[in-house]
Amino acid sequence: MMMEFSVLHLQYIDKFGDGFNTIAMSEDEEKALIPLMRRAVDTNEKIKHKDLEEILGKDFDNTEDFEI
Amino acid sequence: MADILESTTKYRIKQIEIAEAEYYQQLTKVLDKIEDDITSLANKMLPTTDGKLINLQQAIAIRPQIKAILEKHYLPFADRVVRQGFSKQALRVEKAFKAIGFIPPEFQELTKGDLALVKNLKQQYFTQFKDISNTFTRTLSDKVYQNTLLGSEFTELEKELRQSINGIYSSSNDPQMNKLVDYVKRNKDDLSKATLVDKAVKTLQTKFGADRAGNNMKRYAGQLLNDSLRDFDATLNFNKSKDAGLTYVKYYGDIIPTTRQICRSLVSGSLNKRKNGLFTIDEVKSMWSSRSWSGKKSGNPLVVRGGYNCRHQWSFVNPDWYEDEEVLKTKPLVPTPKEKKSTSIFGSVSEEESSLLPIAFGATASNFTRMVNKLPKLPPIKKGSPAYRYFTDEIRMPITQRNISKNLKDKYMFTHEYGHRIDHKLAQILHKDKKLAEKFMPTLTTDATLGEGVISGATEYQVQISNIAKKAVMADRVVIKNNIKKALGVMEQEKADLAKVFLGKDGFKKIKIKVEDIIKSKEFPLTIDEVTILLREQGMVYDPADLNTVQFVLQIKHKLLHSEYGKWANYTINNEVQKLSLRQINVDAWRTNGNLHFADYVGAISNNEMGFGHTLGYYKKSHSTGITQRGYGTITNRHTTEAFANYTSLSNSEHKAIYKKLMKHYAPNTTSGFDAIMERSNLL
Repeated sequence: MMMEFSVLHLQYIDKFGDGFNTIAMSEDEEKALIPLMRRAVDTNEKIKHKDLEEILGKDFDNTEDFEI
Repeated sequence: MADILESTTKYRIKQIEIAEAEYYQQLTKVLDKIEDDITSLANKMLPTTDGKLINLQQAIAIRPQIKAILEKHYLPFADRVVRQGFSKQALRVEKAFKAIGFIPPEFQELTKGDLALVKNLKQQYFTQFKDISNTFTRTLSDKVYQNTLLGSEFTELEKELRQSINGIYSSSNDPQMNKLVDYVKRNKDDLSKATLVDKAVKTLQTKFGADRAGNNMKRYAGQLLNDSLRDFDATLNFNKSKDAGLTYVKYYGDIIPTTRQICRSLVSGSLNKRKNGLFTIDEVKSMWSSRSWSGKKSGNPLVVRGGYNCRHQWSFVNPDWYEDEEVLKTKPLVPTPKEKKSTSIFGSVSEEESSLLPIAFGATASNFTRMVNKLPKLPPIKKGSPAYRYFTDEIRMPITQRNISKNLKDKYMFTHEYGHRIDHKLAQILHKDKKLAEKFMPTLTTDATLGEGVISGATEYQVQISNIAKKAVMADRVVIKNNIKKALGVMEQEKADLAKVFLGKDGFKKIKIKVEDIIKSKEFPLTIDEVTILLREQGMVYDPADLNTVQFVLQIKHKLLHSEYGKWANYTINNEVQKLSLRQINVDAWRTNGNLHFADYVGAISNNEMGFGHTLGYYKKSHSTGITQRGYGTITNRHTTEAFANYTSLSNSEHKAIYKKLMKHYAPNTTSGFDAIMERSNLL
């Protein structure tokens, strides 16, 4: 986990109550999420689901029958 | 009890005796040749005046030639023993395992792991043979030098050289002595002539001053020949039996006049604990540790047996093989498969698995490989972020992350996902086979007997063997949560104290001593080397004067970890009130590879009170295992399965021994619970 990502992730969790499963996240995914998380923290608006799907894949949030 | 076990063990023992006799004959010839060559060399190279040695320069120059003679004759012999003798004995061990037939077929054959062990043992014993050669090169050279220095008679040196090589069996100019030597050589193994042989030896020792017990090469090489063949057989047999999950042993071998009392008692049955003469490995270890006897060797009693020159062997069994206390069953418990047997320790696997599993779980049989062996072939790995889908038994891994031999992070990830697969698929097997489930689970926990979440769940796909440890997970969660509030303040105060030391006189030196004292303390679970290894895997350097190292060490000492959900609380540090939380404690040493999986292990157990990796939302969106405790939440299927997946990746890491210590330090109940599950792999 990149340092910049973990700092922003903490802020994101603080603001929105929960964050992302980071254990399986690649460095590219972390890099892509950093600007989105920064904007979300600044604007107080959660990252849009559609944007997250683009980075983390279509079923990233639909983990009912998945274990990560 | 004349059973198959006895006959296979006696077969192994007999074949070693035949091999030993053959190699001993070769050794005798080799040493006679060495004796002749060396005395002839000394005669040729060392000048004398009036029969006395005089030239020190020549006495030194002879050394490389002595070495060359030993290497020319003795090393090819040593090579033959380990290369040919060991290989043949390995095949005999395999043959014995196959003949017993009770053992699952995959453990009857020599696995890659067994072959690696054979290779290592060959190297180890060849080195020991070589050590003897080196020692006697030095001994013989020293004798030449000392005798020259003292101006001794050449005949005196010759006698010493011969006796250093062959002891009482050395050649002599005295025909009477040679006659006695021949007699001893020919009859030393004939029990009917034991008294006469002893008398001849006594005469050689008293009248001719020859020393059988002295430091001669024949004695050492002969003993190593005997012990190497037998210890090799015992080690390979022990290793194969361990892999096959055999935990009971029986002692076999003949009784001869020189048999030690312990071996005599074991063979005759006077130490028996059971009618069938079986002992558990622990019983043997306790017997060995509580007794002492002449010639006892240190080491594993299942390998070293009675000690030097011991001719007995253990055979490993499963008590289930015996219908009653005494009689071995005649029908194998495991039917011989009609299909071509798989030689892989992983059983029947897909092409992708055959390249990935040895990297993830290693090439030697373990509790994990035994479990993997029971699983069906893995469907093709799908594209996508790493995950395991239990409804369809699919693993997802991005194509770019499948080169797990090159990328450590991806290796940990694949092993983690495969851990989920073991967790679910084995529970599904138990769900379908109630008899096996009863055998696998009864002694673990009361809940496990009921099978809730283990063999029965919302659907058969949601069952997990990790739920056997659900109570243990809650027990650890309670301790972890209770510890945080107190330990966080204590740790921050200790950090502040260390900072004062660092800023004071000779701070750089003093802080190193202080930090290393923490690591060396009895309570700290790791050594300095182990801390260094874990930091290195994070791309960090161990430096007790560096803040990252200090924080890493303090966190381990106080059993704390960073948390993304940590609560803030007031603490008094250096007489000042400060707001502290696990959110702000250093995470740099836990960002990737094994340490990240460890942080996730603790996170899964504690529901992220401490540790990180998965989100609280992820854990919440899961079925309860039925374990809830006020103030500590619920243990869900995802808490147990994620803990198990991380336990799998850490237990198969290159640094598994270090992670096992760390897991036991932070979460002893869960780790022991999972260990107990894995230990039962041999029941599947």
